[in-house]
Amino acid sequence: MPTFDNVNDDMMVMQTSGPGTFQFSAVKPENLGASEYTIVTLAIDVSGSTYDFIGMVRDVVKTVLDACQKSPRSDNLLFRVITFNNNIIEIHGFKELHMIDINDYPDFDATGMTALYDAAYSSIGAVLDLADSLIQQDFSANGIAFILTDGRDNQSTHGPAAVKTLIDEAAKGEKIESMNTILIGEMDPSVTPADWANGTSRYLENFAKEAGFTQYIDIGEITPGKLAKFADFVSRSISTQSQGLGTGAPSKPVDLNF
Amino acid sequence: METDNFLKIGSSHKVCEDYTLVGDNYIIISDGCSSAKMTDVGARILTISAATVIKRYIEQRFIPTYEVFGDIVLHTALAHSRALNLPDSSLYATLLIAFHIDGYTHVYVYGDGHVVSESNDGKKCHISYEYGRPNKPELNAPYYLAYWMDPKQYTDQFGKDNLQVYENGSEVVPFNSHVYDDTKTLTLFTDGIESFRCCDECDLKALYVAHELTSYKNYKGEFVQRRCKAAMKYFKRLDPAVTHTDDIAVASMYLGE
Repeated sequence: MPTFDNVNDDMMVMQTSGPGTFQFSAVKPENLGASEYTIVTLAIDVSGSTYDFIGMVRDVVKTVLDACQKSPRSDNLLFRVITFNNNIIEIHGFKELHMIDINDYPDFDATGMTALYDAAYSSIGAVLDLADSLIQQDFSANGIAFILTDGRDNQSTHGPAAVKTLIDEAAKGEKIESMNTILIGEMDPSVTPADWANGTSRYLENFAKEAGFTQYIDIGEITPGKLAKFADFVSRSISTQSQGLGTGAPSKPVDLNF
Repeated sequence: METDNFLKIGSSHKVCEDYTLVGDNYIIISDGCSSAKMTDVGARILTISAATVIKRYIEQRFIPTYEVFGDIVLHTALAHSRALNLPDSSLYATLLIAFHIDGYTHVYVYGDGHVVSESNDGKKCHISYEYGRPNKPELNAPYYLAYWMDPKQYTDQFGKDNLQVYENGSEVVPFNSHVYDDTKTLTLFTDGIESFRCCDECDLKALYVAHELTSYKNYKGEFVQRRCKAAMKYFKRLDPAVTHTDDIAVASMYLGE
């Protein structure tokens, strides 16, 4: 279950709607000053197999946050970071960027199994429900969710169909103006590139297709250079989606080639 | 106290001739005359001049009279417009200002427009200021602050005494300044809220438009931007063909409960 150690008076706790709900925290709408927001979730796999590169992935999150804080649209972003293995841990709920101190991020502890579908469900569901809540309060809102994983699901209570239901709901445009969902595969270093490409990566690509994700990105073998490119991709994707607020349509997916 | 504003060009205009500024204790709107040249610039000069003048008075906690304030703003604006070689007619624009000093909100209206106040018990009061020509009262001919340059000439032509004031739709004895207390929100509108058209046979009435635009859900930051954008989307859902032909400027202050 998520932890809410950094929920204070400025924040509220909500539950995602639908079966098997998850809790998430978010800044209270009455504390928000802008008229429109892009709601962002980063979901990071911290299962045991990510041990060798989890430190680098944490640095990617910090790089993305740093880039977004310098963006002209920084006042119009709400950011949530979760990690997942057997459980989903909320590093922090949806906050404005100026409320986030990158140096407060804990080390990510890589251990346990992979609740991939639950992480996707929680990530997308929370974005949708917060957007709906904000739109009821006259805000405009769109969303983007990144789910980063190195493995197949082996722990979730939900399945791809439940994730697809949420993505389809987002596409209707009633709860949220638009939403981009991006699944990213990072190669487990214990497998060969061929096994990765023909096995887990294909599995993830099929999951992305089945659930209706906007994009599937295969990072492959983790290197500092690739992660730097990936961090840039995430920042640009967020920026592009934010610039699309008010158009009613999702932004065109940003390309990423390694 | 929170203040915020909203500006939107009308469908029949190439340039937005309305303007608005807000500060910590004041809100201002202005609407340039469409038949005079460079009034988009003139409305901005008038608004900025009014902001500059009222800030000085607020700092000194001194309340200028309607006449003194109008006079100083006009001369300040003329100094700037003439320095830019603009015609004096570029200042043919309405000016509405609300400023808060020592618990009271003062509203001065130079020209036409609308003022909507909401009290702490939720009651709204909508004051409409309208002008017509002396021989054609149905035509819109506001008595601009700029006409004070030559009162005799403009009074003969444009009927300074042709001000009509309506409170919640009923005509009342005319006035062009007012003091409010026990007010939760106070919102100024240019007459663009009268220009909503749905189809050939129906319009959205200004009273209804103003009510929707002042149904705030929250009061922090860009609260007027949020409400106005949401209301515009709502009007479009009612009728996709809805449009407003004239520019709209909205400025509001939230004084808390």
